[in-house]
Amino acid sequence: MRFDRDLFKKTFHSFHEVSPWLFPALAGENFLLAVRPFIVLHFSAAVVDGLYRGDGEAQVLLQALWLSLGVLAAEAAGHILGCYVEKAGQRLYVEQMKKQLEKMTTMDYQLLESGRGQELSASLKRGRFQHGDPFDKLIRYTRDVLAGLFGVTAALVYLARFAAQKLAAGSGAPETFFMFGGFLVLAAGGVLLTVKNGERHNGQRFARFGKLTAQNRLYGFYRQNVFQNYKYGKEVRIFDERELIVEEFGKVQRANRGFIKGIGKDEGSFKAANSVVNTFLSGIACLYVGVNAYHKLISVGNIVKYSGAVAQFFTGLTRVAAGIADLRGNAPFLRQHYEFLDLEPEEARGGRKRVLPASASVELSFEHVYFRYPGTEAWTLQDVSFRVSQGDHIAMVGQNGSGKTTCIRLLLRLYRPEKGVIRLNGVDIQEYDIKEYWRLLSVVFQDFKLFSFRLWQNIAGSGAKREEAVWKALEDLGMAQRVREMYAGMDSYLYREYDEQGILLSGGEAQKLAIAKALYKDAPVFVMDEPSAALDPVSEAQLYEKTNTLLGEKTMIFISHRLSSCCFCDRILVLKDGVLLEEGSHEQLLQLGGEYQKLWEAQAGYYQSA
Amino acid sequence: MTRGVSFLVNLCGLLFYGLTIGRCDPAILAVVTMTTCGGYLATVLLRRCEQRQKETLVDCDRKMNYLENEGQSLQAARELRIYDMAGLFSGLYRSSMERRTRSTDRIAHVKALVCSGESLLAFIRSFVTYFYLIHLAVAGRIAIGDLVLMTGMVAGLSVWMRGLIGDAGELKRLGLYLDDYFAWLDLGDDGQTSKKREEEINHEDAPSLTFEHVSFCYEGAQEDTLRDITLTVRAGEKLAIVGQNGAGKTTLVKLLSGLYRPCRGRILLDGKDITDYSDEAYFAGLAVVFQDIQLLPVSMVENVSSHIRAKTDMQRVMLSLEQAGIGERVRKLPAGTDTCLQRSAREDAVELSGGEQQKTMLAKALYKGGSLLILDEPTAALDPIAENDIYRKYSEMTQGVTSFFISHRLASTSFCDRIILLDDGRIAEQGTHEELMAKQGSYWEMFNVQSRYYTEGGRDEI
Repeated sequence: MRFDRDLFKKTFHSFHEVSPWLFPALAGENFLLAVRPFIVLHFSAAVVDGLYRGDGEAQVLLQALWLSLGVLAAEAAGHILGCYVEKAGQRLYVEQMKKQLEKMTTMDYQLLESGRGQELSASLKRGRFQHGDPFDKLIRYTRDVLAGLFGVTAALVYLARFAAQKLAAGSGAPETFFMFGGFLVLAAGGVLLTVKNGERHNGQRFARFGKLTAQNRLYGFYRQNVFQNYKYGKEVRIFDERELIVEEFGKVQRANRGFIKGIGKDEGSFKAANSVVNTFLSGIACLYVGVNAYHKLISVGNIVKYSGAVAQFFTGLTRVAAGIADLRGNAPFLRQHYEFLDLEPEEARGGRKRVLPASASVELSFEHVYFRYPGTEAWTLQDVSFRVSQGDHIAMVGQNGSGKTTCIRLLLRLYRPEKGVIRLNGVDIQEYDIKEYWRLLSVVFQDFKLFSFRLWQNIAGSGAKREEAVWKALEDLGMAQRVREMYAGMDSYLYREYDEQGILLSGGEAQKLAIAKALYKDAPVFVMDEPSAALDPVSEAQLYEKTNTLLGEKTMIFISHRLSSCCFCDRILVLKDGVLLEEGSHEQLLQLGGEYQKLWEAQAGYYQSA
Repeated sequence: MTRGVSFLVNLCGLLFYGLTIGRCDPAILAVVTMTTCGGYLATVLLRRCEQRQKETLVDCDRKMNYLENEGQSLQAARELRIYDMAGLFSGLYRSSMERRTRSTDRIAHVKALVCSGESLLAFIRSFVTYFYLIHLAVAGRIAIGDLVLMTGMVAGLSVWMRGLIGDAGELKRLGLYLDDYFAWLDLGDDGQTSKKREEEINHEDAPSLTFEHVSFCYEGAQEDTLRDITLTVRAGEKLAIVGQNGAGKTTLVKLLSGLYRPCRGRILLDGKDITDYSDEAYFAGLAVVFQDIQLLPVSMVENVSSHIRAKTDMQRVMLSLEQAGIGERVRKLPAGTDTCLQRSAREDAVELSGGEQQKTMLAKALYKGGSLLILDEPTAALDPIAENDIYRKYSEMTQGVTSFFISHRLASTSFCDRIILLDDGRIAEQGTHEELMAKQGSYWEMFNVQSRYYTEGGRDEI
């Protein structure tokens, strides 16, 4: 039985953060709940004894009143404390969820993408789904342990008094010690058995969860991206993919079913074993009280009292033991949560927080950059070197899979080069503080993402709502009219996930908003990865003409398969299979008669003959 | 199931205890019944409060869930970091969280109140019972042992009673769930299912299609997205559909694919209304490449064939990959055609570039075949050579097929028989490339904008 001090500290800290009174309130509530049955035992025994002694009716009634009042007071106070615990518990849950979200949105990108990052976040999600929220469980199990402890203590106090009475009555001290000692040994044995049993059970349980991590990601994917995604619905229907999905998801489900069956079996045998131990022990104890009663060693009232106390003792004991076992079973889930929150890249990136120079001039250079994606052998980029001076407008072209988007991802510091460096004003970009570095970049991603928030929030991000700037960006993209016609202008929600009234956008409109967002950010360096893929010809031409004037002074790097847009650029970089093949102006490259010319001819042919 | 059993157990317990107590004294029975019912009413109050808060809670949970899912997605992760949106995320999360906390607080308050009320009722029940029984015992009308038994039974009876009432409520609630579930299973296609002819459609030959005054309006939208579209497509015709963003092209695709039904008007396939066919029969003849790319975390082969391995024609898969221009790339993958896709779902998967994903989607449509081919911007992410490649092979791909090609790349219109230009949900122009160019209307304008930079004269103007 290892005690994880670190985990204990962390959870205690989380408790304390939400409310310093959460734990005391929980303790108080359970103290009252534990005391309640003893109030009943004590006073009902007093009533019975009073009647036997032939006390006056009023006197007996008074005992009954104390009984009822005591129970009422204990319960009411318990409910009030319980209410507090419940409130704090809900806060604890959302607070920890918020921490997870904040970690997810701020942690190192490559770490989030890494196997461990993805596995942990999927496993956290799955754990919450199958096991329940570990913090909710923590409170529940702590409650079990506390309630049990208080119950056991109260029962022991009671039984000690019984032993003391017997000793006082002079009925064989050794015998009483022997019985009481035997009782404690039995109890200790019971606890040990239950805890051991729980230990084994929980070990099995978490191991089962562990085996499931790969399945978790798949399961999550099917749930989120296939079943709950209306966009997938059309593929399933038109391509009649039911059989395939049933088969593939079936594999995941079979693994799951094995898991749930296993969990159920463990749970059943665990509980059965516990009941056997518990019932056996209470049986022995009751037998003992019964024997005493038979020999008229205790009064009838005391039978009520002591058999009740013994029952309370064992119920409490099982609760403590089971609670401890449950807490230990819950620990891996908590540990997983904290492990996720503590995830840090091996080499602390952006550790060297070099501050960006104040000068507006930006000069970028790739120097012999090599890169391959984790888990692949072939280079995605090989010995790529180029320079981008302040104010340059650069186009990157090349066939699908030639490494253009990867170049951009390296520039954005989403990945690091394996060999070579990328410099900004002569300094390795890895040395700048990452947040400051990102402030330099306005990016339109190829697979850009608009969130189901308000339109202006998509454009302005976390910053304040600068309405005029938002309108200006929308105006520049020709989206202002469309937005004005929306139900709440720029306050309208996009899509339906967040608000049912949300606006559905066409592919082109969405892309225009993604560009508006980059314009709004107005950073010194613009990076656009196929910004016109979904735009109609008129919008596309406008986009290139406008960005050319709008971004006149700024540095721009863009990727496009529409080579007409290259005419606007100072320089064109041509990539093939991860190698920078050609570099020059449109005219130079056409004359060169290489890869670029091939690409150009393929596209221009149709327009020229027409 | 278990609820039903528990209901029966509670009922038996109640009868047994109730009879025992009632035989001894009906007055106690009355007190127990009254206080228990009072307690039940209090829990009804609690349930009602929970019900009132449920909408807020569901809404908050949905929003929080959305944020959590997006936070986990890699596509969103890139955007989040560059645009410093983490603050927006946690701000929105916080506001939902606070709303949720207010709701759960309210429930906790009402719960404490209701429980205290119940305790008060229990106090009354307990004291009245004792008062009565002690009176009887002192008067010698019952034995003291009976008093112990009776107090235990009174407590027991109220437990049985509460259990029974609780179970009845729960059974009713479960009944409502089941109703929802069966209603969901029964979700028909607006009652038209029965009318559907189960006959097979002849998918061997290219069909003709007719739009008769078709209009379409999205639910909740004020204006029609498509207005009064009338159009006849000959069997085997190759149609190009062009138009500005938001003109209704993609909506037209959804209508053609039978995913949406026209709000007004009809679409006829070989002269028969397509809503008369069952979905399965209609879908069987369709091959569609949608604008958005959706791939499964299964092997390349299965993504292309849409079927399990045993029902896959491997030769056809290779042929389709080849036709879509991704054959060589697939052969170079670590496990060839057995390589899995979707890195976000599995570690052993490969990450394809945007263009490669689009080619895979095209291969999937080509594998399926069918007599009606619909391509919605299938070349948006392709490089010029790959795009050109598709154009060159288009005639081959559309052999004996009626086809629709939606694109912003106007070069694509040159290999189509007819061009339809949509503007604001209507057909603004139609004809061959030459006809439309001669007309000097919107198409002519669009074509000039796009071709300007490709022609020698145009480039000099910049």
